[in-house]
Amino acid sequence: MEYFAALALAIGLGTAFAALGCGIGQGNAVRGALEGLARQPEAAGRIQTLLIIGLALIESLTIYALVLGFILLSKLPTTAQILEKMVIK
Amino acid sequence: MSNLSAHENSGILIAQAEHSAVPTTTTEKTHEAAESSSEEPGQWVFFGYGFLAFLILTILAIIGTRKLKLVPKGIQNFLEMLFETLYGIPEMVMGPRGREYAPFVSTYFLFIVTMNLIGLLPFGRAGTASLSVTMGLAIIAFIMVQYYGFKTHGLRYLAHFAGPVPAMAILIFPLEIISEFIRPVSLSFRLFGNMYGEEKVIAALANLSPHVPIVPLFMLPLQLLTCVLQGYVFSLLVTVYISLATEKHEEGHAETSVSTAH
Repeated sequence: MEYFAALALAIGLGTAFAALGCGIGQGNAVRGALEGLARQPEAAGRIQTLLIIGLALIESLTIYALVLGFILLSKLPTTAQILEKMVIK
Repeated sequence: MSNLSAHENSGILIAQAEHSAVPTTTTEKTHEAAESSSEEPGQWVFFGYGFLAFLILTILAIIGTRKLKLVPKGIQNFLEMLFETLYGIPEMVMGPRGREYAPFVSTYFLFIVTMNLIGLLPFGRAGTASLSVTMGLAIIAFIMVQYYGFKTHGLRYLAHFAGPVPAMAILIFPLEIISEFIRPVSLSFRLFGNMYGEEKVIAALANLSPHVPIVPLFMLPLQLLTCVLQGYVFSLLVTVYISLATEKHEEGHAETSVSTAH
């Protein structure tokens, strides 16, 4: 049972921690882009392209954690199954 | 990819392999229940939706270009706007030489965005919410990037994996090869994770109000944005990979946008 408890914690916290780091990284990226945009409004198109590429690359790290979460989620039994087992014991 | 397409549940192939390894802890009954409780359709459904996207695009193109006018109206106007925007992407990244690669890259954009948008329709599934589909798209992109690289540089294309300093070549070469092969994986996982995760979020929100599905309604505008943005990101990254592979070294590095894009 401890195994499944750890698994459930891993599913919940894994994506959450990944999102934490991703949020900080994306915040930094957007701040840099906005500062560059305020200084040079004529470079808007180029900055936008690079910003979206950068954001996608940062975001993909969180997506890996999310996919991992789905993989782990498929290994977790449902609440009904756990309850059934507890009743049998 | 074939054993992936045969399987049920989440479309994740690692899950399938692990599934049979678990039952030392779970009883056989729970294992059976997990198998039967999957309501997910088989992988072929996603190929069907991909084919549907292909049909929609073809019909749209045929209808839009049947009566061409000098001053466009309606569908023709829309298609021309799309055409100019999409041809602008590679030109923005690589300059004028990007025009050669524009058809390839904009096909990705159109196909992926159409598949994503089908997922927004009632009873529709996004074709990109299957790892098989996104992995297929990414592998084609990978092969074409290598093809364009060899076409532009010939066998000297292989030399660019070794880096600029000959003494460091032994160290750089494996790293570059690995990062080259990681690209299709990261491309496909990004698209798949976004679309599949989004579907799961909508499903979870729909469970909040089972009788009147009003809650997921507020999620739909955000999903619309993600649908277009993911197609844009995919095609943009393919453009960047092509631009890195076909870069002319004599002209300097001014036109390279992202040198370490993975």
